[in-house]
Amino acid sequence: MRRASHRVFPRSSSDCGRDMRSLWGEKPCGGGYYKIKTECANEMIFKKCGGKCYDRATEYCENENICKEACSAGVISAVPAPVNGEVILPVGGTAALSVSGEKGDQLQWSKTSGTLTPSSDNKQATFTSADPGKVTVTFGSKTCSKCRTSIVVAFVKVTSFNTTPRAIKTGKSIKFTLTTNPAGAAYMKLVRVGVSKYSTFPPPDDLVQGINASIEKGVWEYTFKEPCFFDLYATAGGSNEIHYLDLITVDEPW
Amino acid sequence: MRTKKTMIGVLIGLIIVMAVLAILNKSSVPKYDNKLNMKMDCAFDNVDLFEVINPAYDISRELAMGVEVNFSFMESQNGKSRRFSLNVSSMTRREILDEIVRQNPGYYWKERDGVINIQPYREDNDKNISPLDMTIPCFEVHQIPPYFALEYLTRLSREHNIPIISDFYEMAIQLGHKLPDSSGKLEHPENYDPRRLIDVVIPHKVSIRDCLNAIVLADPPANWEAIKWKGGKTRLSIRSSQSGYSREKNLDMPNSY
Repeated sequence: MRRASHRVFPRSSSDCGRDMRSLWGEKPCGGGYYKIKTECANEMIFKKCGGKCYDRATEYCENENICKEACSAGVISAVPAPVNGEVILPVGGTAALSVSGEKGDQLQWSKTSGTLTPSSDNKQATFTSADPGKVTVTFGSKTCSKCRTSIVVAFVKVTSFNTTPRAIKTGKSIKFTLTTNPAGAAYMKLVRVGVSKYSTFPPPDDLVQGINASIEKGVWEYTFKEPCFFDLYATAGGSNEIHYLDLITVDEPW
Repeated sequence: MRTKKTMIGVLIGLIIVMAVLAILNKSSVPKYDNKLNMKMDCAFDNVDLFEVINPAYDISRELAMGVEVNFSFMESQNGKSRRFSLNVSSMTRREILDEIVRQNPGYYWKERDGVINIQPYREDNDKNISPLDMTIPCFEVHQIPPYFALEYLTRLSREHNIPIISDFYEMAIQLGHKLPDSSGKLEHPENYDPRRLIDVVIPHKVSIRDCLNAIVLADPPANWEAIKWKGGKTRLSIRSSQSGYSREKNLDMPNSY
């Protein structure tokens, strides 16, 4: 009778591990085993970050990116100065940004839209946008949130400027409505209303003065005592986008 | 045999041609019909037909329109014109126009060369032709703003004894100021936003109504309105809702107040 062939196994498991578990991609560590491909081991076993090992004493893992513990994106300051945490500019205007107190590797400027131009030493940047709305500008690591600081820049544009009605007789009132993007009293403050120089019969001074004095309201009613025929405009200033009212008539009754 | 094959070939060819024509015919739905079938929201609050022309209202902003009313400006101001309200959402523009005229008996709307015209019905035996249906020999303007085109049109109308007037002209007479430029040409075109300058060329006999339609079509979105005025005249206005940038070099920027 022929005897079946078989392998001879060593008696000790530790002898066993070095040979057998390495076949499964594992190495011993502190009485246990760790997977070489996905884990690291120094004082303890931990998962790799983005496929790499890292020093847990000075680094941490965020979304598969290795980040340094000791980093600081610093503080961003801006001209014009922020109002309630936001820099407010007309569309096409430019914010001058600078950062101080930054510390770490590969710190850089980034933004959600618009045009950003960093200085050569990366400590300053100018920022502008041709579109209305709010944009977040960030300085720091693109991947490590602890190493990042942001500032919001709002670019304001007049989006509508209307009256109802557009023709009335003296003694009656017209309602003016003005909206901006972004909307809100803080952004309306950037707006100015003026009389087009082609308004041959301009409106009373106190109409335009009154609108500009209370621009945050967004809605004004004015009673006309004299005939006039005018063309108002509204602009957030700085850019050349101007919203016209285009010919309002106030006639004498007959 | 050969004749039979030829006839079959001709028949197949005819069928193919007819099929292609049928497809082309189906796909050539007038472009303006598609525009009127678009849905939108619309809200009017206690307005009369004269007040419908206002970029504050979506329909006036979305469509080139012209409205002729048969009441006077003072009747409108004194609350003697018919007023209506409308508040709809997701209704086609066609349905909104139908509703507007439904609430204003005596008026109808029609599309004329890309401009929606709302105007009063006229009785067949009505000998009073609307000034807007009177004609001038031709109308041509180049690179001027719409309201200057209107001034030129009213000057031509006066020369042909058509009783129309513009609001700008009327105001100048009223206040004793210099009459508006009705030459049809700009002295300083560089001061104007080029997007707001229009060209209209109608080299043949044309009604005032069709001139107005051509002006607003050249400056979309824009509208015209015609209302009875004192002295038996009809006053015309052009309203443009286009915002634009200014290239005025001496724009008076107001000081902070």
